[in-house]
Amino acid sequence: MSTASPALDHDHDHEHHGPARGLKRWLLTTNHKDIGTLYLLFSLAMFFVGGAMALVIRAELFQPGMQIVDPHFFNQMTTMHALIMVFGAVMPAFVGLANWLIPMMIGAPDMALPRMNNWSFWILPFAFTLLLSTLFIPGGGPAGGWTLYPPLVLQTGQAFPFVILAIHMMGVSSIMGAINVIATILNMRAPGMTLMKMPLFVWTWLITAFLLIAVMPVLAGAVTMLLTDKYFGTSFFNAAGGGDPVLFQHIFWFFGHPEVYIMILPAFGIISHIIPTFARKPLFGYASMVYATASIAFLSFIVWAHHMFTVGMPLAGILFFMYATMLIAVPTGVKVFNWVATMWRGSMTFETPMLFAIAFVILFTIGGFSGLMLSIAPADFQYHDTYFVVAHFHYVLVPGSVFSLMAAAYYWLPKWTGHMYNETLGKVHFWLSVIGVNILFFPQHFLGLAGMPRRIPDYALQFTQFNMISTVGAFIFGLSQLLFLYIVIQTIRGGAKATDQVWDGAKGLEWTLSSPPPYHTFTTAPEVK
Amino acid sequence: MAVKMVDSSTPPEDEAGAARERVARLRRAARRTALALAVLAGAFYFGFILSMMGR
Repeated sequence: MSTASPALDHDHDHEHHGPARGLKRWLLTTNHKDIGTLYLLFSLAMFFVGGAMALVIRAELFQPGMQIVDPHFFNQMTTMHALIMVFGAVMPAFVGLANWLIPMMIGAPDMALPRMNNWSFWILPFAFTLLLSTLFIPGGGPAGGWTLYPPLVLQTGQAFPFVILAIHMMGVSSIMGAINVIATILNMRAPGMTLMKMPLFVWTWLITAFLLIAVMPVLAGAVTMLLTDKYFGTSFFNAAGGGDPVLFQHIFWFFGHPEVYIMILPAFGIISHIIPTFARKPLFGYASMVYATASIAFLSFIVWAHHMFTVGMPLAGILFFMYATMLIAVPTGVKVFNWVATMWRGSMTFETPMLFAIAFVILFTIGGFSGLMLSIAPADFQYHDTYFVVAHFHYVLVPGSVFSLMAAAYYWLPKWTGHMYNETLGKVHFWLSVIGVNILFFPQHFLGLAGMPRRIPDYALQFTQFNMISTVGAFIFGLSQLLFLYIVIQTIRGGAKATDQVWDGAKGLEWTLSSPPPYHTFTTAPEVK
Repeated sequence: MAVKMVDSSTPPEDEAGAARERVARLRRAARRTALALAVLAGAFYFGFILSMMGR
């Protein structure tokens, strides 16, 4: 897309200064690179916390009967695993990438609102400390599932207000982050960087940020209403007081379905950078990628009730949500086609970021197809609340979102640190991850089709073998992430010097900067032609 | 998209000043964008709860 001549280091500018020293640097920083690093490290920590909870779940499900934890704790694990992975791992990781990359990609000196950026991040550790602390409160943490459906969630003990406050804090952080992203992209672009010249990661984040602003207040409103139902005598969702518990489900999924796209659209952007780089060809269909992203975002607002086909909706409603959901396959298909067309007859090489990107395209597509199966309302009555659903959304979120994050980490880590990662170890990590994730989640399709319900700590004997296989896959995948941690630490500490360009085929403003880039970049705007 | 190389390693004072002024101007505009978006998010939150109260 771009032919960028190498820019010069900007670190000799007399007005520039380096970072503060010690803890103060990280507490008070307003630098987009520092805040991006904080987000990424925080999300990595949460990835391991949430992953440990997943391993508790899978260890318990290794065989039927109760072995390791009691059922109530199991339910807390499923709930907390989801909340932590969604709000603590995947979303902050993408915000971290946005912080690091958007200013460098659009030629801006920093995010538009650097102080608010600091607040956006530093709310998160407090929110998750609060959330995790509920596990130690009498009665335990939330155990009604991440969807927080009433009346079940209202049975949560003393932890309930802590959970609600933590969710509000996460929401405030997300909204502030989204506002910052939009304000930065719309106002801080370098001269000549028109919207249709923006890198796709920037485009996908712009659209994601609008999704966040539209739906996070809805989640906040819904959980506020849960709080007032429990403590202040309202009856929004209390049937005995004239309310309707199904209303909560509608509200939750009005947030929840766009939330899925919040976790996958930036991934599309990342993949749209990596594939052209390693295929050494421009991205096929740039404009159609932008329009497809916008179409997916629009459609994400009108499909929410496909999560609740079984609650008893009018037939017209079911048909509308079924067909609208199927429609999402069209722009998503455009994207997959474009990625494959970009690779077609390219001079491809298979470094670790490209391996993760190719795995993303294949495995995310599997998740997309199982989503299409679930969108068929009559069939959904069979699949609903089974392990088929668990397999579906984990294919979207793990080899989808998480693999894109891994790909991004390997792709931009040399730029961030100035060091190349160990390619052999990276490939070992990739193969362990891709094998582990398929052993983990593919058998869950069959468990679901055979009728195994989700969110249960015990199961009927006939499900044993596939559960055992799934648990083995979970431990392969989980433990292989320790290798990723090792690779990241090793790359930060040293290694072969990365060039400024890093990858032969990489295009874009960030590659015109030195590796690692100076603390302040683009204080004088580059001119984009 | 091509990038014109800008040698800002030792920018003249007037160029650096102009760049600072440009960023300050962009940030003022960004604050207006942010304020509008914050009002929108707040309106979604409170408007949503109020609309549910009116059911």
